[in-house]
Amino acid sequence: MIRPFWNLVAGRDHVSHRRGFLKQLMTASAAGAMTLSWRDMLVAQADELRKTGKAMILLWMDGGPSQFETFNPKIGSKYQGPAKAIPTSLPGVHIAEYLPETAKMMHKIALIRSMKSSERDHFRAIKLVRSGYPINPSIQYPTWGSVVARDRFDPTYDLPAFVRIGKPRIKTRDVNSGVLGPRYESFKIDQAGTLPEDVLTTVPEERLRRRLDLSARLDAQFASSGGAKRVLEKQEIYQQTQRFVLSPKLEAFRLDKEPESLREAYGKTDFGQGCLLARRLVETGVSFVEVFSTGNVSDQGWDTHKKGWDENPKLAEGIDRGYATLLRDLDQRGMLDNTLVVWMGEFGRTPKFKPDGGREHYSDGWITCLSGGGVNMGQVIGATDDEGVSVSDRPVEVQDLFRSFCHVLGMNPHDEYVTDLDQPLQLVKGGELIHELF
Amino acid sequence: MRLRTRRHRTYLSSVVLLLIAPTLLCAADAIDTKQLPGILLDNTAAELMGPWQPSIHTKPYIGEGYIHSGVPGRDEASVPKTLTFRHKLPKSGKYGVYLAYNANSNRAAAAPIEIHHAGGDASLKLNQREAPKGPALFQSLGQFDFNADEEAVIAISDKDAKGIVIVDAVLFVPQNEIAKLDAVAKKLAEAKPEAKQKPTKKKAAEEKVAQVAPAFARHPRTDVQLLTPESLDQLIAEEAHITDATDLIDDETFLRRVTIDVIGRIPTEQERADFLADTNPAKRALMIDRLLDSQEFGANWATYWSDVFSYRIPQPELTYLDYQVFQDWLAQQLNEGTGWDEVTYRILTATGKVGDNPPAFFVGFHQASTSRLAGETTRIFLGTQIQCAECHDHPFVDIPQERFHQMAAFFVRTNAKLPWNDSSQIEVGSKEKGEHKMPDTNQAMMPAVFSGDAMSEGASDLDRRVLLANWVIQPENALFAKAYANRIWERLMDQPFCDPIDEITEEAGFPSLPSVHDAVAAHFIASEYDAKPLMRVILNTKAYQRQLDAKDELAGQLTSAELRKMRGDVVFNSLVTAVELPNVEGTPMKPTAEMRFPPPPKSTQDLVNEVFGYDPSLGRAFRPQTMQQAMFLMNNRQLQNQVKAGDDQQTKLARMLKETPDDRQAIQRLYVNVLGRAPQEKELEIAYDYVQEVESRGEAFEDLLWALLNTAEFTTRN
Repeated sequence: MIRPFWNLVAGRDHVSHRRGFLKQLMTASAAGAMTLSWRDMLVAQADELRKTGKAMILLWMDGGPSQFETFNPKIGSKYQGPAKAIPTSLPGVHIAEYLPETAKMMHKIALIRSMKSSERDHFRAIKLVRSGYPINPSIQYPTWGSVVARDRFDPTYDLPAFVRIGKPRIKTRDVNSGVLGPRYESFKIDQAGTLPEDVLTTVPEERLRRRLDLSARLDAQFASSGGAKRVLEKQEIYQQTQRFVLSPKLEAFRLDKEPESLREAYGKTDFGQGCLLARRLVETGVSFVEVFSTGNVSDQGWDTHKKGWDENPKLAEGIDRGYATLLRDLDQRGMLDNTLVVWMGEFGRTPKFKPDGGREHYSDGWITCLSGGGVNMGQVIGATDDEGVSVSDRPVEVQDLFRSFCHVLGMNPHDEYVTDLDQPLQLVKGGELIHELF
Repeated sequence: MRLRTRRHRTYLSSVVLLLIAPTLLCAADAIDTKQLPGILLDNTAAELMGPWQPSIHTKPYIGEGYIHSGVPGRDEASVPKTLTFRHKLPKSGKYGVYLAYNANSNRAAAAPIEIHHAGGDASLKLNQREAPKGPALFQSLGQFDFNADEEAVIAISDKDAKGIVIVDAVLFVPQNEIAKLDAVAKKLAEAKPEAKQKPTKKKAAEEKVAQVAPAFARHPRTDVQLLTPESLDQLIAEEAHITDATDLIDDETFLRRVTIDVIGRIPTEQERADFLADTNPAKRALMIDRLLDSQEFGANWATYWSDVFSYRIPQPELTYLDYQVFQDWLAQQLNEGTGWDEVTYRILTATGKVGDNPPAFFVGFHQASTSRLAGETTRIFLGTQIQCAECHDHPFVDIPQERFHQMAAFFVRTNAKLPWNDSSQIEVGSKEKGEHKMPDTNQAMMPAVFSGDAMSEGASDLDRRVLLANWVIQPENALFAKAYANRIWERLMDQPFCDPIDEITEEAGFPSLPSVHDAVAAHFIASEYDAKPLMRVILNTKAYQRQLDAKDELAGQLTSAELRKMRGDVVFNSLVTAVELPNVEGTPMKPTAEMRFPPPPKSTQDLVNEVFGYDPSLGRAFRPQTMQQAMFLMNNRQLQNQVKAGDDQQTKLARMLKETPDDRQAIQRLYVNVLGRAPQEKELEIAYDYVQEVESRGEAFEDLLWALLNTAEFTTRN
């Protein structure tokens, strides 16, 4: 089994291709002596590694959740609204009352209250927080799931490496596989429990196999008259596709296989059922799953400029059981050690609020929660001042977070890939490991 | 057309002679005609045949508006029209004849005009895309002798006009008064700066809105030569040192290849039958002409160029980009033979709303981003990649960082207003102030072309963009025609001269067959940058019509044909041709308080494009076959509905099976409909055996159609 470097262009026949050559050089030097053996190992044992390799679940709070109404209530501050603080399973640590189930799992969370970035615009912040790179008009940086999918890509595995559940609240505010191209794009499920139509076959398996066989036989003439390479490429992809659409592993996408009590425990919201699906997929070997939370009521989502006092309890209720049950379920199945679960949005919200509780965008002291994958859970990292206005202790930057993701997932942040536009890119640029996590 | 004067007729002359009753009808919009010498006939004086359309859209005009030949695509535009001015001039003698119109890029490139004068008939073609040379809206048609006792006749039609014909008025000026007209012209020209000296605030604002680049004017070039298919073949054979090459393709393979390449779909069963039955030895050349003349030609290549631009335009915040407006505009330009120099000029200098002026999409969709516009302008129009030089000197070639920023400075005063949701409402305008700054030093950087002097500080947005556009398209800039030739060559021959396709500079690219590249580019220039003659000469070569290298034993470029995966739009159109796949559009949602930014619905064509589309600037290695593509062809519900053969079905397959009771014949037809060719004997046997094995005839043919749609061949141009 060869792991293809599909972004490497072979030089044309009889034409010395300087840039292609340079690309090969760059890749070769990027691989280097040290990492080459690591790569070799990956190539040799990709399947084994994927099975033991850690997976990641990103719980994405689209719009930028308020820290005051979630994980960093500031009782006594003039900026705190009606949300009260409740104690958690972690002695001394309080979170907002809207997340009672999550509070019970706080000992399984490393809570960062001191995230800092300079991006307070959704579009720019989403690009940064989902790719690890600040927005650049000339380069479409890939979303992190695509980077992980590239690392874990295995053509013999039935299911896609990267699955997204749910949709962004506003379609334009999104990040995709960018320069990594279509191979590492996420496989998208709009709603947990349903599969995209094109995955579902329209005829019984036996007839589909007959059709595939007939098609392959009819490819022979074309193959012998100059289309051999094209036919070979088709056959590889069709074998992969056939394995996927007929795979018993597709059962992982079906939630009716789960006991009703557990489905109930995850919460009967799109997000809750999405968390359950995420667990099932990771269990089946998927490397990266994103679950979107948008509140499903309007395209405001967590972007609570308006009616914050009304909206925040509802938004929190939409995720509380799903998040908490996911952590508990993973833990009980012994999967948490091998699964990094991250809860975050693109930024936080201003201390100042409008009479209805609306808060604007704010990127000083926003929240990220990490669990599993071997990180030290049951701790709080960093803090904001008593009023909740700015980070007073241990600022953490977005790149620090990505360095830490790499560490958990066993990826080398300095590893480079060459984009389809010929630029060498590091998996992560800058940042330092968040040492408290390890 | 021979014009006959009609001596015995009455017509209404009272409304027509504005000179006799020179009233200003509408001070703001109409031209003051009082100062003009001679005899003025408004368009209302003309005798109309056919559905001419009155309009007051483009101001100013003479009288109460003007008339035009209809917006392309509407019914009235396709009906032939003629219009005739007849007037007995007061004295015999020589007159200057003038036509008033307003120019725009969608106007007629060749409006046919006939003038009946004392010495006979003169006929000429007027390019209304270029602004009238004046005075004001008037363009001279020449000087002619007229007799006082015979009607002077000016006839204008829209036959083969290549765009909208505009007629506002006709002016006859006696020879001895032409000097007077020139004086009026001068006065009109001087009147403008006077008005500028005391601009009121309101006027200044109006001027800002009215900023439009001067009309395009072609840079002439005489030292370029046209190629013939034979001379091109000879040049290829010499340059590529071809000693051994594959044979020429047969007629059905030729038809499929050329139909895919020119109009973007597979041929129909009927088209194939007609072509094979044609015994004319020149039928391939005639087919090439027919395809290039088809409306589908422009539509196909407009989607190619739309892909070239759109794959590098990131999705802006809160506005969904819709390229249809641009595609429609470009399709029209391509079909009418508008030069790529003019298209480029219009794209780079466009202002206004994208919906009103589609070439404004380039600056508008890029949100007036100076760095992206700099990089994309040189990449697309000149085949030169400078974007690495944004942050540092180019690592491989001699492109200093300054060069990027001098290029960016051309766009620093562009402005794009993005309204939410609707991209046709994106408006491109100009900023009054601002200079481009170098990122590290903050030093102001003035616009300069690669080897030219910098512009002086304070130059207006349009001055900048017009200078840039004229530099890009001037014939001395060899990269302009070569960049285009490289792309067309890659599309038709699969291998570009320079690879990557959008990097043709000598420093960075790896040119193959440079003298062929130069000759093809020169042919393009000599054809006035019209895509059709360029493609015509290539498609007629033997090099284009070669077979694939079945045994993979020939070395060297152009010794055989190459495979290519179809673009998304071509896959869609081929599915429409093969199985009548419908394009389900969906209903757009109106924004509401809850859903403020509803995404536009995806049509079937959008879905196919999403799955099969690729960035055409990237090479073959970046067009991977994906599982999504396989799943679409295997399972997509809309497509599978077209694969049904039941008696109750309205599908093409069901009809075909009813018409063709013989199984072998039905198999033949299915092959022709899907793959554009007859099955080989062995294929026929495999298919026939399969059909016999399966109990239900309908089901057997459903399986066969499914299998053919899922062959590697169906989505491949070979």
